[in-house]
Amino acid sequence: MRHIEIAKVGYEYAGTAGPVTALREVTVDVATSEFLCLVGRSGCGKTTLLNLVAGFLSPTRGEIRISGRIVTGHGLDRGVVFQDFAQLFPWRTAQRNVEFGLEMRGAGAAERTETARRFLRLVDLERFAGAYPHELSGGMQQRVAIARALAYNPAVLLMDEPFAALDALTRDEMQRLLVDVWAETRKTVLYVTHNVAEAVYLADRVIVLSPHPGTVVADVRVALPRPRDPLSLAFLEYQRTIVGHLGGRG
Amino acid sequence: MVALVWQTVVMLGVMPARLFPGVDRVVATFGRLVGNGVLPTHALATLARLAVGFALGAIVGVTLGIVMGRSRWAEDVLLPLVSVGNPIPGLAYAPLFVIWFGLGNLPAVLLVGFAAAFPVAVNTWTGVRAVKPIWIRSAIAMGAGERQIFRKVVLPGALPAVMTGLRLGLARAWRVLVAVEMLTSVPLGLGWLIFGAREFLATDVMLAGIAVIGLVGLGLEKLVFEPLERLTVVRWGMLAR
Repeated sequence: MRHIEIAKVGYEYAGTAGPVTALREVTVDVATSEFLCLVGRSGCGKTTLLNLVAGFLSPTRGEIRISGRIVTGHGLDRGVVFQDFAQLFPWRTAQRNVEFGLEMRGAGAAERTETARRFLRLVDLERFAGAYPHELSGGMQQRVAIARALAYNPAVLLMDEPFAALDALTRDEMQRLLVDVWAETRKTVLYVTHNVAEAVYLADRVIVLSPHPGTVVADVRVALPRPRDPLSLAFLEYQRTIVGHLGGRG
Repeated sequence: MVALVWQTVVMLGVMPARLFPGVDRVVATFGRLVGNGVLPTHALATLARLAVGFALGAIVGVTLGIVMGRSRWAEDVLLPLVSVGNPIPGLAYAPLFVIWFGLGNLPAVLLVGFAAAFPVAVNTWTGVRAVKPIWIRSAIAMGAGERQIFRKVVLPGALPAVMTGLRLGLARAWRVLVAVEMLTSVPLGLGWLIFGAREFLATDVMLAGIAVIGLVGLGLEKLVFEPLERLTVVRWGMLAR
């Protein structure tokens, strides 16, 4: 079933030297519970595309539908995780950060506490429920952000390079955790990254975007069983294919 | 250390003892004036004036700062006024306030509020402007409306700067108050006590009054602001300590 439909979407903005086309004729369908990675070099418009789906921006051409309804703005059917650790509210504990979306939805105190606890447990941070963000490591903060984006039960999870600012070891750990969380919650995930290995590790499908203007150049289905072994030949073969589409040298 | 140097100067007899009392005499006078209730009475009168004036200034300052931070139009109109007014010492307006509001408590309290409002407004404005866009974005993504964003993101996000503003405002209020008490002939107050003591060359009383002013200022910092900050911005890691 098609959950997210991105149909012939274009996005233009006013640059210093006239209008700039960030995206042109982008068409992507995402199935329910599918994990889709958007991969591309900097400036290929992958974050713009994510922001369009999130409703932070509106497409200048084409349309985006989620569950059949045209996206006109933000909505509680989507959760967003950004790259910046600062996305958490420093004046709230981990627990109260996770409760925020439930609070906005008008959930009662008991439900909020219970639900937030459950999602903190999901990202393995129950012990740190009472900690403030500045007392947590970068990886822990991003886990809180994931729990926060999931807690009000959106059907879609949008992630913009959430692990890009982490060290390599923590990043590996976080990727494993994310696959587990995804397997358990069955959300439809749209995940932006410039890291090819990360995309192959995480995704059911990898969409490769090329810059100036951003267009889809490849749609690669990763048919590897999970958990995936990043050192296997098949894994490296997928990486090679995608790097080829990116026009890189490897 | 200061007391030691002071006492040496007194013993050398550089200044007449009457104008430059020894530490022992100041301490004795301090004890006597606290014992007979003179200092506490004056200090309380001053503190009451400070509380009312500062509360006024804080409310006006925070409101102005928020309005300036939230509305482009208000920023264009008010910010130049506040920026020009901020560096002017509050005491410069004292004669004007006396002409407008007469003598006594009213001009003193109003001037204190007026002087305190400027740093509070400027810092609140900075704080509101400095609220991170990513907090707002996260809140929007989680379904927060305008009012919720304001109450649950902008206000706490601006708090560190607001605290700085309140602290500066209080310091300014305290300074202007003691001085203005000398000018507006209030019936009781530390400023008045010091000013009145001049008539009798009672330098020991003056110094005792000054000591109280210092102690109260220190007390406000240690007993009001530090605990408040420890409970909020320091705990949140929003203020480097």
